[in-house]
Amino acid sequence: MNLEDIIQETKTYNCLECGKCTSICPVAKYDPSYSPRGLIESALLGFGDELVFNKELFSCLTCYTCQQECPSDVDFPIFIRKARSIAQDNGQYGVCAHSGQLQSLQRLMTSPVIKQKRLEWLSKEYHVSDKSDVLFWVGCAPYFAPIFEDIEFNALDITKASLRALNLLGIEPKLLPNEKCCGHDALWTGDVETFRKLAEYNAAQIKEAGVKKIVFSCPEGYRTFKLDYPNYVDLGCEVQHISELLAEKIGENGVKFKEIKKKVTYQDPCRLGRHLGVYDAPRKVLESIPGIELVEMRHSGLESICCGTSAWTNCDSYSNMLRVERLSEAVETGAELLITACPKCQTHFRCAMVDKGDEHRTTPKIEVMDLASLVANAIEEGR
Amino acid sequence: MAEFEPQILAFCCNWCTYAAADLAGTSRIHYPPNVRIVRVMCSGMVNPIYVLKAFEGGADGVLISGCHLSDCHYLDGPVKCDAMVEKLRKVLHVLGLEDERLRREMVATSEGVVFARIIKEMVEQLKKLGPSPFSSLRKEKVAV
Amino acid sequence: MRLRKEGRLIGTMSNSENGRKSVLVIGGGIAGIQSSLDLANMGFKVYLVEKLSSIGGRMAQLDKTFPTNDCAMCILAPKMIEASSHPNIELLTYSEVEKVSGEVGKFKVKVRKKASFVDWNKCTGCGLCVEGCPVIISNEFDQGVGKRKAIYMLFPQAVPKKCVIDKREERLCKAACMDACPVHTNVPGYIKLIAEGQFKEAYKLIRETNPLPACVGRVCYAPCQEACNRGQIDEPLCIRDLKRVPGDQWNIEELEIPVVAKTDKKVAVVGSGPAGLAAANDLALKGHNVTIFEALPEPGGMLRVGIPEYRLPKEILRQEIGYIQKLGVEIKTGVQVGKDVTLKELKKDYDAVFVGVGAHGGVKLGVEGEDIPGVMEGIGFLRATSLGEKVNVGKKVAVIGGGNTAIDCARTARRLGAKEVTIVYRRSRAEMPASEEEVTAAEEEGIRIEFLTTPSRFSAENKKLAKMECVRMKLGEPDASGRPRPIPVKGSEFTIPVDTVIAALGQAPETDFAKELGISLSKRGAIEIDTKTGVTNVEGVFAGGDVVTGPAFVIDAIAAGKKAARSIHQYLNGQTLEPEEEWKEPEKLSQEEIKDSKKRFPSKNRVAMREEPVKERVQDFSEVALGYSLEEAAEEASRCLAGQIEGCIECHECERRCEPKAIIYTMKDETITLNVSAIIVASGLGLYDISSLTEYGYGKIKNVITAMEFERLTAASGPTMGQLNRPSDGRIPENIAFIQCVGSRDFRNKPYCSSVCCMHATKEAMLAFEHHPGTKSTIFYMDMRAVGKRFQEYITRAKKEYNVTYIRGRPGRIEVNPKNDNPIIKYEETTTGEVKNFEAELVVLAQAMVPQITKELAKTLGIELSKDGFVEVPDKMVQPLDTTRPGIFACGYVHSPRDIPDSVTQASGAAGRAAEAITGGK
Repeated sequence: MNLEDIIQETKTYNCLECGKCTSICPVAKYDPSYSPRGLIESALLGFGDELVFNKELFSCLTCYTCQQECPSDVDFPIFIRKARSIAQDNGQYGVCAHSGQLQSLQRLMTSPVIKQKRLEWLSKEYHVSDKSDVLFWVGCAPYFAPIFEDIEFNALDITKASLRALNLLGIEPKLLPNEKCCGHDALWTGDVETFRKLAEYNAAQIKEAGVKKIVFSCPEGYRTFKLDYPNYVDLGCEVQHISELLAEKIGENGVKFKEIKKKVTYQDPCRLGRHLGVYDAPRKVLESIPGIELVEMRHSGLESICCGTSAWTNCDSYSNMLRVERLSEAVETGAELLITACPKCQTHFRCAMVDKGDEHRTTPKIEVMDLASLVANAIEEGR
Repeated sequence: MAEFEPQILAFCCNWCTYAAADLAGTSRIHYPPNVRIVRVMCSGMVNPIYVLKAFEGGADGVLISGCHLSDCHYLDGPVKCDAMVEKLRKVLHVLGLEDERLRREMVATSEGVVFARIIKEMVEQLKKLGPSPFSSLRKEKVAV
Repeated sequence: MRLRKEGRLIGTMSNSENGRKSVLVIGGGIAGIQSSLDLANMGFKVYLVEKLSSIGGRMAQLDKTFPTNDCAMCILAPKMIEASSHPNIELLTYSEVEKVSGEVGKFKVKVRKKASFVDWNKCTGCGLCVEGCPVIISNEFDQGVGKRKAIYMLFPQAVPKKCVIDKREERLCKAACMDACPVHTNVPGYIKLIAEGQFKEAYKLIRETNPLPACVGRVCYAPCQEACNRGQIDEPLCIRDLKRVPGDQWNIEELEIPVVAKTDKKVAVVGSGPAGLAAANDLALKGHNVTIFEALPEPGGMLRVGIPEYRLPKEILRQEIGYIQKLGVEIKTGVQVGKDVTLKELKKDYDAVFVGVGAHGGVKLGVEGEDIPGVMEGIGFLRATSLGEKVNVGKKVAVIGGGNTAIDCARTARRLGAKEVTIVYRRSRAEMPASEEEVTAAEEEGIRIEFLTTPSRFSAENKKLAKMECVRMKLGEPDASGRPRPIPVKGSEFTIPVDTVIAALGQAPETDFAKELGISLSKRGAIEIDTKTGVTNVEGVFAGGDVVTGPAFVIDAIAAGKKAARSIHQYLNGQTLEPEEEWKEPEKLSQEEIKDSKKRFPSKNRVAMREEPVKERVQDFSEVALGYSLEEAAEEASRCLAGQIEGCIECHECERRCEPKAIIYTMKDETITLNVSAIIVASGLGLYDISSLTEYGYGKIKNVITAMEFERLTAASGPTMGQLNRPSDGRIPENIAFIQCVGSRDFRNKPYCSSVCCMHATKEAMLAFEHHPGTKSTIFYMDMRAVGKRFQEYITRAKKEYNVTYIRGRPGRIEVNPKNDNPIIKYEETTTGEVKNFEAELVVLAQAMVPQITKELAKTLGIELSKDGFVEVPDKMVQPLDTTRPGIFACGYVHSPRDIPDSVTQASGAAGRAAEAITGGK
């Protein structure tokens, strides 16, 4: 694959250089040297080399804000993704956050003989069943739990809350003991080889499990399985995000909720929102809980602002500025809780709040909670 | 079939353990040759990525060794190293990596004998455990 | 063939109908007009079909045209006139093509002429109808910036200059209210105006038929409410209560005085009650010089001295009488005709006389002891109280009688300090003439009513009235009035202690003064008149009101005064007296109609008017009814069935005002068949709906408007008379941003370029500067498409002389500054790569333009459209104006995006092609 092929595939040649993308790009807002239009310009003008070796290639959050409005139908995030694979081939990897530990873990996972110990947190209070035709995808939570201890984020809380919610809705899902990372980060940083290996392994495991549906608490896993896996492997089953499942079931089963009197606001994750178009399901779930008052941030839904870092790459002060802006919007609504539906969003927001800032610029503070945790707290026992 | 010879990557701090390894050498204390030593200024500066990359590169075991708690040239290096290793162990545990493959030691300058013993022990353990589950990645490209 | 009109030669026409070649042109825009003129000048007959009521198309909506910045209407109008007066062109506006069959040379076209409900043969385009229409709707021609009425003319220079009525469905009720009202006030009309908050207009509309809206809105017996068709669904409208709303919500002292040409005629009006005031009002509005002679010291008649303050505050009456005086009517108070001046003298000094003295005479009880002090007559009691004279009212009061006067006396007595007030009436509740509301009000105020009772004797103690002896009655056979005759029950006598008795048995007209002229009087002293015209047996002397009918209602007196005024006016002009056409009886809804309405509208009961709490009422004479609040008025007004529909509510106001009598509510669509040899499609451009482009905030952010809305704002004959008032606060913006390619060159909307926007944005920026020198305009463009002759120089001039800056780049989003409603544009300056925010006071979006031809019309014509909806041209190089059906040609925007000169050029081309096809070419 060379740059010319990518330009053809993603219809980048249609670009009219109008600048709409850059004007609303969250990164361009803070990083003066970053311009999606500029990157395309250099590609179209034949400066392929410049593009591949440009550090800004890895700055794109792939949040899809640009593509929503592009009048020329250019799929910029996919263009970036494919260009990054050329960059990887040329030894360019972007600046990986946390010294590249997460990327390294993903590569280590591709080894065929590892036997992970992912489910040690699973206690008797969570009901799972090998016979179920619904698989719950645990994802990277068992890894994030120890890694992000210092910012007081235990990703397994989300997993446990999701399981509890599912149990209370009468679902005892299957869990795969040797899931591997879905490969989302590898794919979006251009490491197609790692992604392929992970995808092939996961697909084989799922086929063997013989399930009809996979439920995700992580929108990145969901998006990857739904949109990217079909290009590489054959899954043979449905995929769904837990918010969608909850929205369905809450309507059907007449679930009883306790009253939780709280004003909340909701962050639309890029992967769930703009990538997959799921905006209403989480809101429906929130509105079914009595006492919950949902107040939208200034930019919500399609206009929602990204949490600032994608695929653990190029996380810098601009990412932080983006997070501070988004947290300010959350605080502005007067909400007590910022509800997310993505463990990455939550990680990044919590990280931003660790730094209290100074007297000139304090970091806005708000409690962050996953949708599944809120729902699990709210469902009444003994249905 | 040739016997399995484990490869160990040892991060040794310049002031203590590296000197101890030197001492073991000059004292002609024998220890298995399966170790490659990487000299670092302090065990506290060992970043988890080094350990992970070591495994990506095909190491069957990683040793991190530095000064004893009160001996550190930079005062709190060993503390940092301990904290790092504790966290990393949890991650590697989930990954299914055997505990023994990551070893944390404190060896003083004069403890050449100790150093040799540690290596001998580690090699024996690893021989029993076999190659690291990541050894198939050895031929793959390793990125930063 | 030579054409003559009234003997003058006006042109030549080709051969007669049979065999003459004719062409159908669809679309009356500039292209359609041009084709029509070309073909007509060649001798062909042209049918120009246009779906709106006037030709002119989009060009009529523009202010100026580029690149000359000529006034659009100035260029267009002569062409429109030429087209309308050309002998070979038949304009079929307000019409649409329904069916096309046949082939080139012999097409058969069915055209539906939509019902305009206005007879265009009679309509003169005067616009009086529009002034009176109460229905205010968003104006599509003004792009929603302005409003129009249900009856309207498309724009002031419309060709043909005729009105149409936008009637979307039949009125849902029979407007029985209007029929029941003695003066036939336009009830649906003014209720609609109240619902829309147009209080001044509502007051003026009521005043067309009733000179005392605020007074009548307090005291009328409201026959309209009884007849109200809504009453057949749930509860009738509180029409009377609504009638006072305009006066409550708007200062009636601000009503303008119309300028009326004065005549040299003088009219004397005797009596300043409602009859006299109505007559004086109408005569003054016709220019006559009116003098009212009033015996009492204050004008107003029974309104002033019969109806108490708590029902009709004197201040309101004073204001409304005051307006009649402002019209030039002189009121001489304290002058009694028959004493201070005779009727004969008035007849001599004035050209006509109207007698409206009312019925102020009391009726005697005929009971022993009625001369004892303390026994007083009701009308006199009320009059004295109203005029502020001292009246002795004791603590125990009895009021004899059952009419409204009796109730008024009782409630007045309560307010004057009486502790016990008893009304004594000889029949039962059912026969009581007083209105139910009044009776209920009296009972609420603690007044007791003794039914079936009559006083037989009053007796005094110590020379003061002390006792009233009564006897019970029972109801016997009906008497002359149709009510059961009361018969005393033997042995049922009883006594009520009283210190005051007020006899309110009725009123009689006092007409001795009229005998002098020999005016014919009835046995009871009432003046006899010709009921159709109001004239007495003496020429030049007219009469009306209570003096003719005996005690009746205010609105009846007003009706009588108006009728007499009409006759007086005819008399003064030497015409024979012609009565007005009779109105029909009020109609009821059929069972079907009731069922339909019940299904469509949720049941909603009337909004009761708030009243003073009962405890507070009797403490003083302050008004008991407190009036509707704005919300209550709007809520009640919105219940009116007639006003439920969108568009014309058939209130008949336009019909009333139309002098040529051109309004026909029953008009139906008409279908005609045309035989034509060729068809030209020139239906022009539509404006793409850009509210789906949510990033620009159109529809949400007030100061983001479309280019066409801008045109309507700057147009001199537009809704703001050329003032560029920005929507949020009306300010003239000094910093305007234009955004190009909104919906155009956009794969998600219209992928093509709309061709004219770059130039029209430049033009609009220049216009803004011309209207308000110093205005800074910034145009955000993709490419500047200035491809015509002198277009590039135009752009350069804009930059140099009109303070226009061009920035390359498409903005990604528009947000708003909440402090001043300024839109903030987020854009990337593509030349430097900087991401910036631009705050403007007004943003104008160059909306995409689309070909204005529906799939249905294309199917009807049998032609194909391209993917984007333009007319498909099979061979662009060889025959660029042909469509896919031989004999049908296309030109203008519907063919492809182009500006006016190019459209006109194409139009001539199409005309040439059509001619070619007709005269035997292909």
